Parts: sequence; structure tokens; C-alpha cells
Amino acid sequence: MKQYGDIAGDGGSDVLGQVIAQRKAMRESLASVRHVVAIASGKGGVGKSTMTLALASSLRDRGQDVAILDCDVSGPCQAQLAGLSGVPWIPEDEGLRMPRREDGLGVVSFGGILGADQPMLHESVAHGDEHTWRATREMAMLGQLITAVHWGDLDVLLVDLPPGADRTVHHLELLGPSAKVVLVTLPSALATGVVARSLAAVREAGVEPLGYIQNMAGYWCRDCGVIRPLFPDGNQDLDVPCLGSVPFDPGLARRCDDGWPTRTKDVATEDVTDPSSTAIEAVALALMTALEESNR
Amino acid sequence: MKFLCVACDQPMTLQDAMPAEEKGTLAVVYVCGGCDHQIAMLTNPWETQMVQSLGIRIGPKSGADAAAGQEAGTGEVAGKCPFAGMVQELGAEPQSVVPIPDTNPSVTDGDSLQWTAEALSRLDRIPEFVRPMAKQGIEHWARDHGCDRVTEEVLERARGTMGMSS
Repeated sequence: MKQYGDIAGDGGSDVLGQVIAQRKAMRESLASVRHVVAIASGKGGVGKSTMTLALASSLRDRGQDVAILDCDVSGPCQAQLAGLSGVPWIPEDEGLRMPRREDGLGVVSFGGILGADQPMLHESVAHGDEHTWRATREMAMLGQLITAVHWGDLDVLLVDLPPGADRTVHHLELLGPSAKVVLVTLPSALATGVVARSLAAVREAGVEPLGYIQNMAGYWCRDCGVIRPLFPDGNQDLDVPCLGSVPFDPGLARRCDDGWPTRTKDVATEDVTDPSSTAIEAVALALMTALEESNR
Repeated sequence: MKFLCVACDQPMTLQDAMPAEEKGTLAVVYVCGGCDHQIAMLTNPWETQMVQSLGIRIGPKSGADAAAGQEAGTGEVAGKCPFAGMVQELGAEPQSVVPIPDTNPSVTDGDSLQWTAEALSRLDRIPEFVRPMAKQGIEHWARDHGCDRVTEEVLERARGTMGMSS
């Protein structure tokens, strides 16, 4: 009796061929993007999204053509952070037109088109088992989104990932072998311990992170004009280069709620020499250097 | 998945697809070219979902175009069903043959606006999992700007509000 391998094809659907074609189409969509950089952490709440937008804005100010892809499907916030809520995705000949801020920063986030009270639900024909299919549906949907968007000739695409060591690895697989990763952590033993597992998982997948960002490295007291410690454990290092430390700043938090200002607005209304802005500029510079070195 | 006629020792070919009475299940009929023996593959909702979750099509001519979301004119109805390619190949109406519920990410938000055929054809270019969200975003924008239906002009106006040429 014939065995599986004795019969050519798969019954007519060419499922494997379709999956390969999906991946090929996605890679082709990103082909003209010079650097794809995932901003990741095993720990939630460490400021991945804030760092992503802050870095993107800083890189944009340096003349880079930058966009953000928000892969946090359950809690997308990049559109709100960038002030692009409600800007629709318009289908054009080359693909979906990417929403852009006044300064040209592109942001693709499900949060921009979902209502504030509207969760992303992955319904299933097998009712009660939606959880079983979440990861598969989510990855397929992200793959289709990446394929659908016309990214253009970007210098940098920053990809804001959801938390989790395994999800970091899965998203890096989706983005392809040329994708780089930057980890974000806090200077606490708890957070650093969790992010260290992410580092191990990423390395096990064969990816060496460009470095890490230590967020909330103390808080800047605007009254005192000094940075005071937030966590009792002091500095907690990861075994990768530190791209920089960013202190917590109420001004930074306000920018997140109000929509991140463009450089033009920034200059007009705020002091851009505050420690958090200065630190973000330094991290952006370190990231650019790391990206250039990774290409050598 | 392949089907082999044991008596003839030759692969069976896809012949028909029928909806089963239970939602989310399908009956897919194969025939042996040697002895004309037929069998039916009955899928349960989990098996149906497994295929659909990958965003691929089951059927004789569901190739790279379908995988890349480039299938033309399938619209949303066909896009909801993983067996749509097969059903269309058989010359049947997808919505009448495979009545499985919408399993795309849920973005239902009130009644949909009317779309002109030209605007809808632009929407059809978007891969199926992303299409309902793009559609909703455009409809939100249209409502916010006093439009009672989506036309090419509305799409162009929405495009203009992005404020920056790429």
C-alpha cells in the first residue's frame, strides 16, 4: 500500500506551498526596510511602547525615515501615543497606506482603528476554545498585516512586541532572520530576572540582541533637579551591552497620555534638555551605532 | 492530508464539498478514479478552525495568490471560509454552501455603511484577516466626517487627512 510520501502533493490544496508563499510575501513586503528592530521584554509594564515611540521620534528627528509596527494585538497603544487614533488604513495600489504623523513618523497599530472600548477578539467556530487558536490567529493576522502595508524605503522599522520570552522569540521568527532585537528592563532584581530569561530564550533562538535599555532608572524630580532612585536594588545589569538608562519623568508620562509631541511642538512648548529626553537621545544614538556595526 | 483508495492503491481526488448540519463542520467528498468509490471527510469545528487560523485555503486551485491575499473579487463572504477556494472551484456560491460563522477578529461595531463597487474593490485588495479592521476604520472616519456611504472620493479624502505624503 502506498505511503504518504509516495503520493505527490497534499490532496490538491498545496497547504505547504501556501504557507511558504505567505512568508515569502511578508519578507518581500519588508525587503526595502533597512533595519527591522524589535523592542522586546519578557516583563510587562517596563515601558517597551514608550521607549519604542521615544526612540522612533528621536531617530526621525535625526533624519531617519522611521515607522512603528505595534504587534501588541491585545493592548495596542502606539496609535494613541503618536496621536494617530482614528486615522484609517487606506488601500492603494501598492498596499495599505501607512498612517503618518505630521513629522513623517509612520505608525501601524490596531489601536488606531479599534474603538477605545473595543477589544480584539479572535472568535472561533469551536466556541469556548478561542484560547486554543489565539496564537495561530494572531500570528497569521500580523503576517497578513505586514504583507498588506506599503512600508516603502524605511531606514528603521521599530516593532513594539507584547511581553513574554516565548512571544519575543515567536515574533522574531515571524519577522525573519534579519530582524534585530533590543530588550527593555527596569533596574529591579525582579524585572531583570524576568528579562534575563528573555535574553536566554532569544539567544537560544540564535539571535544576539543589540543591547538593552534600562528604563525608569531613577526618577527625575523637577523641583529638586536631581535624579533619585526608584528601586532599592540599585543597578541590575544584563549580559548584553546597555544602550542607555532613561529616568522616569512625569513629563514623559504626560507625553504618553497626551500624544507624543513632534520636534516642532517640543521645541515650542517644552524643555528638550530634561534628563529623560537627553537619555533617549543618547539611546537613539547608541542604537544607530549598534545597527551600523551589526551591518559590518 | 491525502486520501488513498486501499483497494486500488491510488490517491483519491477531491470531488465535492457540502455543509454538515452542525455549525463549523464540513463534509468533503473524495472519489477514487480507479473504482469510483467515494468517501467523505467530515471535519469537526476544531479541524475547520485549524485550517482557517492559518489563513490558507483548502481546495484544488488555492495557491500562492490566495495565500498572499491577492484573490480578486472574493469579497468578505468568501474570505471567511477556508474552503471557499474549493467551493468556488466547484461552481457553488460560498455563502450558501459553507455557512460557518465569521471567525475573523471581531471588530463588529454597529451597522456597516454602504460601499460603492469601486470602493469595495479597493477593500478587496486587503488580506482577509486585516480587511474587516481596515473596513471598520474607514467607516469610523466616514461617519465622523458626515459621510453616509463609502465612495472612492471618501477614500481619497480620508487619505488626505493623514497629513503627510509618503
